[in-house]
Amino acid sequence: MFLATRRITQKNRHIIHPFFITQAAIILWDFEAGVASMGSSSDAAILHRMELHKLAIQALDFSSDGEFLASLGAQDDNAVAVWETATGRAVCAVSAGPQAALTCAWVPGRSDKLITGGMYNLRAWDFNFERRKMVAEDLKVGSVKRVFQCLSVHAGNIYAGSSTGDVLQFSVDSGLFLAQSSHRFSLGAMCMCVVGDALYVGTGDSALVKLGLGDLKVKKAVEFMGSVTSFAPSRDGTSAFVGCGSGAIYGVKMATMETQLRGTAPVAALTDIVFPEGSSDVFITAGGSDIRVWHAVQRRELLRVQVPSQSCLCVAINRAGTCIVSGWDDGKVRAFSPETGKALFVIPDAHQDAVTAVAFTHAGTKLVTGGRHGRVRTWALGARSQTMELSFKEHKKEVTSVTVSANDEEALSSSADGSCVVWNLRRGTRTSAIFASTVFRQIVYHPDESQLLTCGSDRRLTYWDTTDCTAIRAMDGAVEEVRF
Amino acid sequence: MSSSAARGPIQNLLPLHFSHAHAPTFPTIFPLHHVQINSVDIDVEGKLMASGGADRLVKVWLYDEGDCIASGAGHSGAVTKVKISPNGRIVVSVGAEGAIMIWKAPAV
Repeated sequence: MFLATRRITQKNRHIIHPFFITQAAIILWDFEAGVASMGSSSDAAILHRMELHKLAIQALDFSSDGEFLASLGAQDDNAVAVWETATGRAVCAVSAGPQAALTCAWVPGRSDKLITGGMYNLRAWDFNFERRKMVAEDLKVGSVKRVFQCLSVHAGNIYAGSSTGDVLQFSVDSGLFLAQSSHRFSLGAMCMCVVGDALYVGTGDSALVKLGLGDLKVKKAVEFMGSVTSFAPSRDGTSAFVGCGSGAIYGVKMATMETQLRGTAPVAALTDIVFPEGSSDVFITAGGSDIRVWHAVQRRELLRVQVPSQSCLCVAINRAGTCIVSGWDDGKVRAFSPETGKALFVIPDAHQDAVTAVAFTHAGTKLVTGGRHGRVRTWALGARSQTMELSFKEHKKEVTSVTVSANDEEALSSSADGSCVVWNLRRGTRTSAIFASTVFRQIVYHPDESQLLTCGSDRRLTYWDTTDCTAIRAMDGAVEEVRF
Repeated sequence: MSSSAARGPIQNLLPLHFSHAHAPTFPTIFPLHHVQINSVDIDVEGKLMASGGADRLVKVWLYDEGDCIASGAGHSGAVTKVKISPNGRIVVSVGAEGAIMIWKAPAV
């Protein structure tokens, strides 16, 4: 069994490595070996690394006998290539046409015919393996101008979904336009596949729509959370998986179109994790515009709190497990109930710019926060009020982490300006400080609090003495080059 | 202090689960200055520590010896935070690509 993945080279890397922008790889994996070697950085599961396209790979499709793989390069490359899966070698590659191609599909049961669709074009390719040649013929779209985003070929018919949301039907043999769906999906057709006697279309307006093959009329539609970006039916056609732009995966029973949420995943960068005291089964993550509570054993989402168009940078939970506090990009501290997700309180303008670090004292009566401008503040939490007690102006750059000692007497803060400070919370003074030429990313106490541990941009894990803040030991925490 | 050679090769951390919204991005060679460590955590007993950073790896260390005993590859973006669970059995990491990975902590 094969698995092909595409790699998008990141444009912002070209400053460091100019060659990164030139090649995008298609990687052919051995599926079973890949599952077996999960978590290791070995290349054992990689069968072939196929490099030909520039910048990015737009689309991939295996021929129905699995012998060939067709690939499309991204807009700047715009080449269509056919690869031999057994050897990983390119059989031939040609320009996909004057306009960008966005999607490709083999004609089922044939390894000599390939369809590509894209910006205002739809082409049928005759592929000749012996002569290593591909010849294109434009399908007769006539005056119809569409951006084709997805394709499905079934029983001599080509179904093409457009960005304007209609589905067009063409004949494979004659290349003639046959029919058009009467219904238009407002945000375009994102993916499609023929299963049994119906065409299933995933749309940008978050629905999976069942169209009749004969008349292209809507038979049934089910709603999902976020645009439907992928649709994968099982081999026997009784069930399917639906992937959404919101990161959710659903299982669908094809006969009844009954849906079941199978998994959710965050779509934005995650910034923080916290375990409630004494609980190893539940943890809380922060990132993007939401805070999510997860069950580690059942591996599912228990609760989600969303604050639209803000991003959450840090999260903490009190020892009793009754209050989640979080620091946000807009300078607010927001607190929520972990059971219901209900807002408990908000501290507006807790910091001028953004709240980048937050920690509870163990007694749960105070909050220590750090801001993007380098302030470290403590807050007394009353029954109905939250008042600022101390505000330290010591760090010159973003506070990256704060943590409180077990007896609630001291707090630690690390900053991107290369300093870490030990604060005495009772007296409101600085006890001692660490200075180094690094961007400190985090500082933690050793459980017996005799030592501190820091990490940062110098790639080192450094142990420090708590009383006099001298470095005890430093270890290289990362190797200089990683290749996997 | 025991050396890492005496402990044998570094074992692979076993991912128990990951949730991932995007297709993973693949191999990259990291230039030196890119590889910062974003997060560390020490378990409640003070025996193990975990680290994660821009090299996309999650590593588990023996705190006193300073030996790296396990390393896990799976994130396709920089690791932004790692945490060891209170019972010390799992390590959870999150990345800039939006993945959450749950790792089985190595037995000490």
